[in-house]
Amino acid sequence: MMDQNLKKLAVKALSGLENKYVIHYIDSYTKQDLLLKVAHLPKDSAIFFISLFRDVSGQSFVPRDVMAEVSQKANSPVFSMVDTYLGYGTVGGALLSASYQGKKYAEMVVKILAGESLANLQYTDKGNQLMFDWQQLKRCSIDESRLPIGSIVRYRKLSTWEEHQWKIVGVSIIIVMQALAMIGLLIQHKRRRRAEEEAQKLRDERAHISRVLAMGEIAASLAHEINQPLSAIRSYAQAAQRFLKNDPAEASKALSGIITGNRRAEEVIKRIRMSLKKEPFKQTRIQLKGLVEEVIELATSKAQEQNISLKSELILDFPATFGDRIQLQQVLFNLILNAIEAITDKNNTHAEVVVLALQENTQFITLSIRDTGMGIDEQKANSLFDAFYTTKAEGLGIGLSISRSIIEDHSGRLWATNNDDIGSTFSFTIPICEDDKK
Amino acid sequence: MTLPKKATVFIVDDDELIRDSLEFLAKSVGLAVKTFSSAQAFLDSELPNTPCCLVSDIRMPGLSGLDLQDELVKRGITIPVIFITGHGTVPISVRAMKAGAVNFLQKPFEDQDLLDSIHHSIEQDRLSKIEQHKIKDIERRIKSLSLREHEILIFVAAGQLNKQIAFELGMSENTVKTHRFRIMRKMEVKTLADLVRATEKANEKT
Repeated sequence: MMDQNLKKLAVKALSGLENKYVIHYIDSYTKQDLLLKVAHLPKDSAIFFISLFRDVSGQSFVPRDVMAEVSQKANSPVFSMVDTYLGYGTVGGALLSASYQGKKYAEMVVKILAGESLANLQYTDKGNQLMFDWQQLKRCSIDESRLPIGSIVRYRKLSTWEEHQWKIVGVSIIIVMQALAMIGLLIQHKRRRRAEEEAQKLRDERAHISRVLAMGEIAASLAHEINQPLSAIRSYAQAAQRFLKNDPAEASKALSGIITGNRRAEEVIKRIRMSLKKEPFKQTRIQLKGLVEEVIELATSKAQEQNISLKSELILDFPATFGDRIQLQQVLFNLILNAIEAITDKNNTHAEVVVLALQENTQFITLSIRDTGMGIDEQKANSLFDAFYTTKAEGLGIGLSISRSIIEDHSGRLWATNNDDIGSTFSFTIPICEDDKK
Repeated sequence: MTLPKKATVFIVDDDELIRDSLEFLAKSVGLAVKTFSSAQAFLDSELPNTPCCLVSDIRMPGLSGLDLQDELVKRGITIPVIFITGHGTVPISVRAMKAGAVNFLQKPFEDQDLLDSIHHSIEQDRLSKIEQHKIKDIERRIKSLSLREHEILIFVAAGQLNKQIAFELGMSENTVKTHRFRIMRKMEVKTLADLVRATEKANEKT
């Protein structure tokens, strides 16, 4: 049931618009019928909801709630009169705002109380404001640009971006920064690894250089120590030759000097041997494959530098051997380096050094290092293992000599042969561990 | 004025074996030998008036061979020095030769090279010692002259005639002649030429 006074006002306000619009006053329906009616309004209809306190069946309502229901069911936009309906389904319009009017009147009262003449206070502002519900505008596809200037749009639903702008920005920044940090760390890691590799290379080179320098130093001092008695022996001998003619007693004394000098030279050599064997001999069980692999790993860079292929052809199930792991590795390393240095033809694509193992009997395993180098001069083969004999420009000639003494300490044998086709093979035997003898 | 014929070789080396072998080598050609285990020991010893030479190692504990050579020069001792070394370098040998070393031998050396060097040094030393001896002799004779005689000697050596000397010194020509006769006797010379040569030798030295 519509407020009849209001209806009269509405009829009066709408008079003159009948020829432009078809106007229906829906005031004698039950609520159910009303809801049904609004759902099926013709195209281009608009509902102007004034109020509904009671329907024809006599049921009472809160008008605002009815309007909400109407708005929900209606196929057309719902307009209304007062701002308190905004947000309950009305699109909006020039709404009467009680709070706005109240404020205006209160301001007038304050002015009157202050003694202002009533005649001066012309109240013209009706207190209606153009207010719209953003969600209803969207629902009825009314474009905001079509609203009169000065309209207030309420209940604007913010987009995710508008609503959470700062959160999104914040989270994005964090994600980007984390990503940057990760990239930074990755780059740093890579750089560090490269730096470490370079440092390792430098260390290796330095170790090599210092070893060579130390060897040079030792060799120089050895040369002097052996030179002294040699020089003395020569002088004694020449003196003795002269004395022999007329003073045999003096000649004999000079000859004794030769023996003394000789003994001193021997002592120097004995000292060299001792110092070369300074490391105590530590015998352990050794799995040959692991030992060979470690040495090959050490020598690989050297081989690669020279474009030489270095590989081992070892089968798995050899019995364990027995000896000083470090000394045996030293021997193997030395033989592999010699093999690499023996290959002087750098352009040979078949240049290779192969480490082979062979079990010939129950006592020993033979390890061989085969190269495709220049081979051994048969006439010099006997001198190969002598101390200070070298065919290399910068060699000291002690590598093979030391290697052989190490192998002999292991009750093994070290020898060299020329291959049938090209290059030479250096082989040595290592005893098999007692427990593993088959 | 004869000098003892026996020449001496001084050997300085910290290595006993080298010292001993060099001693044998030198003795085998009839040289007298004295050995020292350090440069200081040699400096502390008395040097004979006979011809001698020094054979020294370079690298030694304490004073090195080069230090010894410097010290000898500083003390005005003129003895020929032969260096032998196990590890000679060019700069060391240059320094040694510049300071007046006779030779610089690398161990092990040919014995003949060392012996030749020794003989050469000793001969050199003998000649220089004879020369020194002569000079000392002349100096001794000059010192035996009286003041007046010495004065007249200077004029005579400068080639002045008796007449000029007499005039310069305000004495008679006969007095000058008497002095000249005495000078010739004291200086142990027979001719004027010998006298002039002797005075020149003495002057060279100073």
